[in-house]
Amino acid sequence: MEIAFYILAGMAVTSAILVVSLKNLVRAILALASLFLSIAGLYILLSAEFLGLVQILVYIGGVILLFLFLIMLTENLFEKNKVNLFQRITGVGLVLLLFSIIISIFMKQPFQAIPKTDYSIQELGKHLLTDYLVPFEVVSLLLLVALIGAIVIAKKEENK
Amino acid sequence: MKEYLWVAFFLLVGIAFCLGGFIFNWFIRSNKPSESKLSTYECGEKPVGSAWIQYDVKYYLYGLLFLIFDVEIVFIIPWATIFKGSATVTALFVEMVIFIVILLVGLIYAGKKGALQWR
Repeated sequence: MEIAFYILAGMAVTSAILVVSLKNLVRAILALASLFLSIAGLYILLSAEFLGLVQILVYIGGVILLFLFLIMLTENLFEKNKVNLFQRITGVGLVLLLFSIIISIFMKQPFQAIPKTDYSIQELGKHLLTDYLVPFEVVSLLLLVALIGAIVIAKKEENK
Repeated sequence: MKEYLWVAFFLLVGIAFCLGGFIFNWFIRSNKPSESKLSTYECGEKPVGSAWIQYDVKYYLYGLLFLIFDVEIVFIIPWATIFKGSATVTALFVEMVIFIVILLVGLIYAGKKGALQWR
């Protein structure tokens, strides 16, 4: 168990570093897919099987696909847009700010082990369709709104 | 948790299969590159321009539609695991029908707007 955690964590950190350091965006996104996969493995290791499943299905299947399409939609960013000094300074400043905020929160509130619960997919399904029925149906509406919004925006773009 | 060892095993076999092909090829191949061999299409078709072109936005639309129905599947899986042998099968069925009908409206909208047509 411990070995599996270290392997997956090492994979996650390596791919995260690759994501930000690779110059070729398509390669960076493939590294991002490997990051998502190792995080899915970590979820399963924490016996959050459903979350791991969703991570693979939605993030690797869907989000990576959208990222790839987004890159295909843009022109070659690196040859045309050189990053100037101002952008560099603001970028570094924002990253440092975010980093200090995250660190300060973790310093105040140290990590606590979550009590081990045995939440299977069946258990989740039962709760979802009885106690949380209304949010469940609202999710459907939310997806509908996202669907229609996507179509409207993409159609407008097409008509230009 | 034990059954996930098989998943890890298949993952490793898959990675080893790909890498093994590359490495084995690298050892046994002959290496005599020429200009026409290194071009994108070795069969004689000359590539025009850069491979990095701007694709049409309609590819993105298909990607978005896929993602939305992908998320729908995430909600159907827990439902499917408890459906068999449940005491309230009718209620479960009706609940899922409502869920799917709402999304079906979206699919019909997409069809009517011509988002599913390739033009």
